[in-house]
Amino acid sequence: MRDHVPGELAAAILRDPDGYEHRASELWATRPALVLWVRHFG
Amino acid sequence: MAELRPHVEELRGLGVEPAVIGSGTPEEARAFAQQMHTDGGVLPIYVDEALVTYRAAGLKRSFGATLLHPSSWLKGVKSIAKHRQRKTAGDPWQQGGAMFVRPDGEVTWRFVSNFSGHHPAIAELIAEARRAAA
Repeated sequence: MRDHVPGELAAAILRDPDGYEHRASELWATRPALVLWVRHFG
Repeated sequence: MAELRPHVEELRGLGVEPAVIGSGTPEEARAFAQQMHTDGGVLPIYVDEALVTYRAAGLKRSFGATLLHPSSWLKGVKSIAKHRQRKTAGDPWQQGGAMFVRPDGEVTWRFVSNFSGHHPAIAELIAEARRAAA
């Protein structure tokens, strides 16, 4: 059985360093994505 | 992330777009990108201050995993020796992770960090990138 990305994750809103909002699903919308969550910036 | 930086173009060459999500502010993300020389679109960075994606991805958040796990200490010492540790920007108790996601939403691989300094090996990421893009 294939594992699919949770709906809450796909729908989550992220902000880029300029403060603009992006839906998380945009990250993998056009090609496979490696999404890395870092513990913190630093 | 410093270990990943030299492999960003290799991942793109395999057909995979890397993206980083952190728990700090946009200003902290900008400063981090400059420090890591990943600004200007070299490696897209996003912030999730509410930790919504961390929870949805099943990542861990705990004091114990951050400070009390024996491996955290060893990895921390090695990390400090290799890279200058800067001020923590974001949730200090949040652990990281990784996931390959295809455009149809299929998750082909996932990694959940169990303690501070617990990262996937670059060789594993490259192998999984090939699988995700196949």
